[in-house]
Amino acid sequence: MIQKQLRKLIWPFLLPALVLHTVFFIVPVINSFYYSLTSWSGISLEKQFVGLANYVRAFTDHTFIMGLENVLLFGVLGFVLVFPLALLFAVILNRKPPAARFLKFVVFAPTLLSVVVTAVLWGSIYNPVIGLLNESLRTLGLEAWSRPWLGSRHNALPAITVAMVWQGLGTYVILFLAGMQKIPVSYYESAELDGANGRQQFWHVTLPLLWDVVQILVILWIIGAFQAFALIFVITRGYPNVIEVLGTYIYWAGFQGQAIGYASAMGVIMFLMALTFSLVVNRLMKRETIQY
Amino acid sequence: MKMPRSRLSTMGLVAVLLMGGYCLSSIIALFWVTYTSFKSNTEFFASTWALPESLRFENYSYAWANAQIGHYFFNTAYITVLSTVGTVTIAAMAAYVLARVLFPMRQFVFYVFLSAMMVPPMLYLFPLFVQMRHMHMTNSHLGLIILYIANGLPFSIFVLTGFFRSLPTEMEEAAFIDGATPWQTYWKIMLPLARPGLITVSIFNFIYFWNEFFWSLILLRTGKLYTLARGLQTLFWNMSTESRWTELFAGLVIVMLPLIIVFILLQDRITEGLTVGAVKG
Amino acid sequence: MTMQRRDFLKYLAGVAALPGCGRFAPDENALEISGLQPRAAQVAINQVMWEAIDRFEAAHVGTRIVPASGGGGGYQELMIRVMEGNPPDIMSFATAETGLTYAYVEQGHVRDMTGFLNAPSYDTPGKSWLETINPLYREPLMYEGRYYAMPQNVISLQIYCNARLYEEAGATLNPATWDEFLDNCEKLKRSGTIPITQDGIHWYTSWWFDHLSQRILGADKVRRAFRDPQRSVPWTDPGFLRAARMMGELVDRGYVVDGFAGLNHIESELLFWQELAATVFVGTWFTSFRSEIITKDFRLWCYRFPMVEGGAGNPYDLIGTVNTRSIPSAARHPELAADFLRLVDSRWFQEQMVRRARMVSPLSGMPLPGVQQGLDAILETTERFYPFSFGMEGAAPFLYRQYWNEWNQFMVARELEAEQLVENLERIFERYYRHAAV
Repeated sequence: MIQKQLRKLIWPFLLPALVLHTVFFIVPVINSFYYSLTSWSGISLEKQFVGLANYVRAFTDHTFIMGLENVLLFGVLGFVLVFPLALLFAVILNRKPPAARFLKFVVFAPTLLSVVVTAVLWGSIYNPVIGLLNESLRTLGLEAWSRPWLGSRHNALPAITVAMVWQGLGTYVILFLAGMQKIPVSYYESAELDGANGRQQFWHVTLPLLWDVVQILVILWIIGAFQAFALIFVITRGYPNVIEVLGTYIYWAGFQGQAIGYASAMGVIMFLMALTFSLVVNRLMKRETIQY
Repeated sequence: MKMPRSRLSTMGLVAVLLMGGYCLSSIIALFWVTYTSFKSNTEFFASTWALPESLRFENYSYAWANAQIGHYFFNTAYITVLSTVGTVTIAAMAAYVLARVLFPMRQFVFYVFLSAMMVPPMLYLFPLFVQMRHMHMTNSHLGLIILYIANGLPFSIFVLTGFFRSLPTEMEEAAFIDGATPWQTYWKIMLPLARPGLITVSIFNFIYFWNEFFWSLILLRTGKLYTLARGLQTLFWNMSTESRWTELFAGLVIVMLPLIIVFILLQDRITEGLTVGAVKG
Repeated sequence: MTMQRRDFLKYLAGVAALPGCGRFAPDENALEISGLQPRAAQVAINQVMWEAIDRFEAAHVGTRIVPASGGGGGYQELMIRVMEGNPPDIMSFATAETGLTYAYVEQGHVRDMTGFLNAPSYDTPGKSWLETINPLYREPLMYEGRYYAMPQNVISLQIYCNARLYEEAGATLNPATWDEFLDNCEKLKRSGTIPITQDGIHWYTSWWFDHLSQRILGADKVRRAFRDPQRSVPWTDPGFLRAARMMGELVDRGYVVDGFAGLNHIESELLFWQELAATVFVGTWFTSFRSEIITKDFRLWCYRFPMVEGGAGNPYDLIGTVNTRSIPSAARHPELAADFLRLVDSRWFQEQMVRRARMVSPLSGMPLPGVQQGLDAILETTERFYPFSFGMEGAAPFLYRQYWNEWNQFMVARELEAEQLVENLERIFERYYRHAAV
């Protein structure tokens, strides 16, 4: 009865969302597959069908391969930094340390900033001539350690990863913290009674119960790593460079290289890879959810 | 719900040092940017570390007026407000139906919305751009707002559906018995009940739209229309070429400040809203 | 704290009206020029430009000239507008710069200017517009025999040095051969200065290779290596290998500033102006933008790229580019736009540019900027002028990027051997042209 009444709402309530979603998401996605099969330059009127040629081209394109490598490197390096640190910080915060509010503020504030702000901030810090980092190293007498942070791939990869981690850490900390706070104290108490110390409590109580959250966040991280664009784009001023990632190369290919068909194909490849990765990781991380 | 305090082990010490180091470097970096924004460029080139001799507010007026940050601020403000209101309104309606009304394909529609969160915008960037060109929505705030709303829907619907699902069904039944129409039930009863969720989603969207860069880069071409993020990027690319670093930093501070201040004032509200939303989601 | 629904809707309606203001529709009656900075921008070239605009508006009552876009991502905006069929009236690109020029012309988006060029010049009586343009610089304006781009200023590449530091180190101011050049570097290094400062992030490092190859093999062969799909001259030719080795040697001997991998051109030039480095290999533009930084007693000198012993190249060939402006085919006011471009090529405008913006003019018989001592000697003895990388950056952007990658890996990261570099290059080019031919 109520349901019959409520059904009247379906169309008026769903329509705006559906229309927007279809027009601005579904249709473009379908079109992107279509574009990827053409050699459209973006400025000519006709689109020429070329089948899978763009896809083949991508895998023989050194710059694309480099972009892919960089995405994977950023992804892995970032993961290795973000997850342990976020878990660690969440554990610390969970213990209600002194000045907890202030700490939470400092940890979380960077996530509130725009990617552009991070790019400008860290781009300035890493500037080889007047940047904060090199200046500090020089002042501290560690001149030998100062280097062109954004120059070679060797340096830029960790440098930009640090910027990424700085920005992203807060979200992960908050989410881990929220998950940890759901865990009843009694679990820890009984673990302590069994003779477990802090570290063991973490591995055997906290982490397993957080596994769901961790799983989701890993997927989130993977998707984010594949999409990485804005930070690198702004820091490198849009010029071709050694830390090109898929996102920046696709953007360049479409708007400056005049190869929208090719760029779309690369976008499709990027999407499929991200999807595959996520599914594989998801499968690997699957465990029975622990009810409590 | 807190963990019992235990002794500080060596690993604990390392942890504390890491966290302390992290917080300290954040603070130092931001402090550096702030006080540099008050120096003159010659001072800055002479010494990166030195504190300013006097507070050069001209840098700020330069950033605000000449570099047009003030104008961008205004643009961003109203675009964000409109986009947030639009997103939350439309998402709440859709979420309510998806959560409470049983109809075939309900799950499918839900997943259709959800799937967008997995898809990188790079995939459909070009077709969307061409499409918006045809619709004459490029280089306009209206186009940007509509696109933002479409962008914000998947996540908002995701969270709000969860929220609505968690509300007791007796509410609708009671309203129905009292003779309320579905529309009234929604407006007067369900929405107010979902207020925590609505606030969460609003906060998320507000922050997201305020900081949004990618689509404003693609769609906005005239300086007059830029948002803060887009404007700051332009500034960064132009001003460091002209060696106007201190003015750039002044601009940076102006862009950073609003959300930080809001966060300081509403910290508890915001983190509470986000964690509640995250937990429910 | 509750707000009545009605009030809320009223507020919302008010705010919702604002996007209506957030629309940018180009002024139908204005002449739009892309790449024009706002009047307030202090750069000299821009100031001259705006004076020209004032003059033009005064002469053509009722016309307004406006900048077409708001800075940042200039070429992208240009492309988008051309795609929309709504281009500005005048668009600008340096012929060898980004991947736009040739494709635009090939797609028919650029108006053929040959007819306009045969009309009288702005202020040189008795000569057509074309005749006032120095024949040396006409080639970059053309595509398949027709003119598509009007020159604004010329950029050539030469080696700049700090005369004082050179003299103090005992280095010669006009090294004629590469060996003499290396000798200079050694002397500079011994005297405690950084011999060469260099941008390692952008394409600037490839110029050394361009020039060395040309000096060793001659321009024609280099052009064929870049542009010939039949690969009549492969990159594996011993001349290129030699050039690559010479480049590597420059870095390995420590003549190039430490950490140049991370320097962009502004920063590397800063080292030069601060007299920490003695040599920089750039183009004529580089004094225009930094005029405030150049101290009065700075003794700037430039010399042409040295020749290589036994090389087949002509040392009087000059490599560079011409900054140009073109008129899109779909421009709304083509005649007005052409008139404006004619003004840009007038003696009046060009004299201002030379004197105030310190740029080199593409017109015949114009004085030189004067701040670049040695430039006259170079330009006066130039026999041929052609774009860097033979315009490949504009003609084949994807190929150029791969070329740039390899080059960067070799020279900047030093991760490749010279033999590997040339082999990789040939493989990339061969594959690209094979694919493109399909």
